[in-house]
Amino acid sequence: MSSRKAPLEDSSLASGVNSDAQPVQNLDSSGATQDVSILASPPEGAASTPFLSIVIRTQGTRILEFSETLLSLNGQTCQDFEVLVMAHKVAHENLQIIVQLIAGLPDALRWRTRLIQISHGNRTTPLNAGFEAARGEYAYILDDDDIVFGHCVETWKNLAAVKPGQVLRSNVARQDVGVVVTSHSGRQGITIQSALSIGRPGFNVFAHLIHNETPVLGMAFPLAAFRDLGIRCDEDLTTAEDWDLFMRMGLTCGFTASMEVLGIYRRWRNGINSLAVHPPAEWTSNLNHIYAKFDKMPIMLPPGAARLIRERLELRGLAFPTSVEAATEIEQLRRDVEILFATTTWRITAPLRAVGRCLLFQAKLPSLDTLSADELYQLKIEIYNSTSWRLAQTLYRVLHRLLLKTNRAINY
Amino acid sequence: MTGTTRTLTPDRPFIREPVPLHVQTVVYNNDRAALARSFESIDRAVRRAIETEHLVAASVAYGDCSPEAIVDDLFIDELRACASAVNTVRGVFFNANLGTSRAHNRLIPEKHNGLTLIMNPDVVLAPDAIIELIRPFREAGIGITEARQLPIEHLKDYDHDTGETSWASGAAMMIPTALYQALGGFDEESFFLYCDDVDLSWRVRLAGYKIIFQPSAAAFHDKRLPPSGSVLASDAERYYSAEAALLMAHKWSRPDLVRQQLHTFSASPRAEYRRAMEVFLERRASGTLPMPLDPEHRVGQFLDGNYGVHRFVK
Repeated sequence: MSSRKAPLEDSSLASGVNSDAQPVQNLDSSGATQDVSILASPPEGAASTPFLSIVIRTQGTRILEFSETLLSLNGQTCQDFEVLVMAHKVAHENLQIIVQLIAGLPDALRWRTRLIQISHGNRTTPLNAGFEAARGEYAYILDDDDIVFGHCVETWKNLAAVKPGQVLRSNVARQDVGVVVTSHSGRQGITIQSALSIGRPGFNVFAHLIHNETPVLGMAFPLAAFRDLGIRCDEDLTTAEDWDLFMRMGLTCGFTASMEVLGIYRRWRNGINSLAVHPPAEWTSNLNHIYAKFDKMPIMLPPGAARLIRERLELRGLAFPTSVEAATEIEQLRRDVEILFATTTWRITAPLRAVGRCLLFQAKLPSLDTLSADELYQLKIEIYNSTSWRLAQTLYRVLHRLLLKTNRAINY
Repeated sequence: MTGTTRTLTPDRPFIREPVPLHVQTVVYNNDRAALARSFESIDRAVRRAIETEHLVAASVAYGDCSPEAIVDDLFIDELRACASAVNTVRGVFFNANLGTSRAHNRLIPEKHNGLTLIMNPDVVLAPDAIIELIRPFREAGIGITEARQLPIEHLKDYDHDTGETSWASGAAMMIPTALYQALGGFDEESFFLYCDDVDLSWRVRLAGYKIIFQPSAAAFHDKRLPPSGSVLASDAERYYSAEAALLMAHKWSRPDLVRQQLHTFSASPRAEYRRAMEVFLERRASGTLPMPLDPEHRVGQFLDGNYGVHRFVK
């Protein structure tokens, strides 16, 4: 996720039709979340719990782009979704433009769209607020300049039906875009400035433990994990909050991935992207914070992960110790056994072992120098488990108690 | 469709005041819910165009080429019931797959003094798309306007100052009804599925008009991107694509390309390419190929397999 921004705004898109819009209340200075308006009433018999809750963050400054986001949602083959427009720290005049834009939607989409005003927190705050307000089974986060393909919701729904409750992942295309105004146009338009590229298709959970390879529009989150397990967006993060949530939820609930390309991540030429907005130190700090959280949690890996780990360890020669590592290990084990042999416990019980060897015709211990690491380890275990060692330990405990009693008697 | 004798001249704008709009879509086994969604977007866009005095009225017609009727009376009644701005809605069940060209020609109104919007059934219009498509016709010399498709914008190039482009996609194009009629509409004898829009655009240009791409007229067209990045065509798509390529090269006076394509298709392991070649040769032998146009190549442009300059081509 980025806070990339196109260098324009255009209120003319939202003009013309606002007859259905309700008045929007003033910004809530108390910092509370405010569900400001529902712009149309649902028809009778409409489902109250959609499959997908699409949470769109907006600051009301990218109306042109936002209109295309909404258009791509209107074109979905599966309309089993609601839209939550999270107006975050939006100035009053921009809020009015957003209301008019929503009012211009076809009725069937308009009644499923809610506008929620957030006047506090950072860019992660609207996500938690959106998840809290969501009525769906899954949440899907979009920025207000993203566009999705026609089978996006349908694909998420099909995936969730196969693996309910898991975090969903898809491929995402990338494209550079810009703004153009031709002499015949009444307003600005968007123009592509590169061909579509898919990048590396497929999902690699191990790569995601190191860095994010999935734009937010390639992720869908089971809301049960948010509601029942309390896995929320981390509002301490100012970048990479989507990756953090994706991994924490997925490593708990599991991942299901599709090879379908469901959205286009649009990079604005001459626009501001998140790399420019946030200094490198901030990225590093957030990265370390996320790593620390990964390290603290038990994780659930997807099927096939064990094989991948095995193959990668073998590929890098890490499946077996190197000659240096092996030599160091043998040396350490040999020292451990020599220390055990030198203990009083072992020495005072030597006669017992000598008798035992004679009675049971056991061979004397071989020289430690001739033993392998496995044999030395086994010997160490046998010493701890031997009758003489355990007998001596029992004697020590009895003597220790007697001494304590004696000392107490003297003290009295 | 036969051309009319109406005289048109590019030095006069087609519209000076609000006009009626006719919207037409050819259907083939499409999902009714998708058609209803598309219709609702048309109605919304028409409403805004009427409110802003770009239109006076609008009609919508569906031509159904499906084996069994999708657009039946019941469905048309449902569309009428939810229309707030569109005045008339009608559906025609052809009971045969006529192809897009012939079906569109059957749907065009005979007496209509406004504009016609030709749309694919899987297109959803932005609320102001119709206004933006109408706008250029207030100037002289504009023959077709084309919407900007998303999520996949077409790669053909256009002039970023004027919007002028080589041809307009039939997925969402607007043309004065009189101009469509004057040119005889789509060439239904030559093109069944592909290239009818390129051919019509080039004939519009040959008549002295410009094709204008409008980046501000957004239309969602449900096209998808396979993970491999390349589209896998069906046998039928390959056949009609090969057939259209041969006919375009012939009709737009490129015998060199015809020879080249015939050579390629004759050596192809794909039966559909060889079949397209055989049909073309049969038509040539029987004298039923279209009359070649534009011998000086003022309009027709064949570049690297594309009909015009494409952007971002490596």
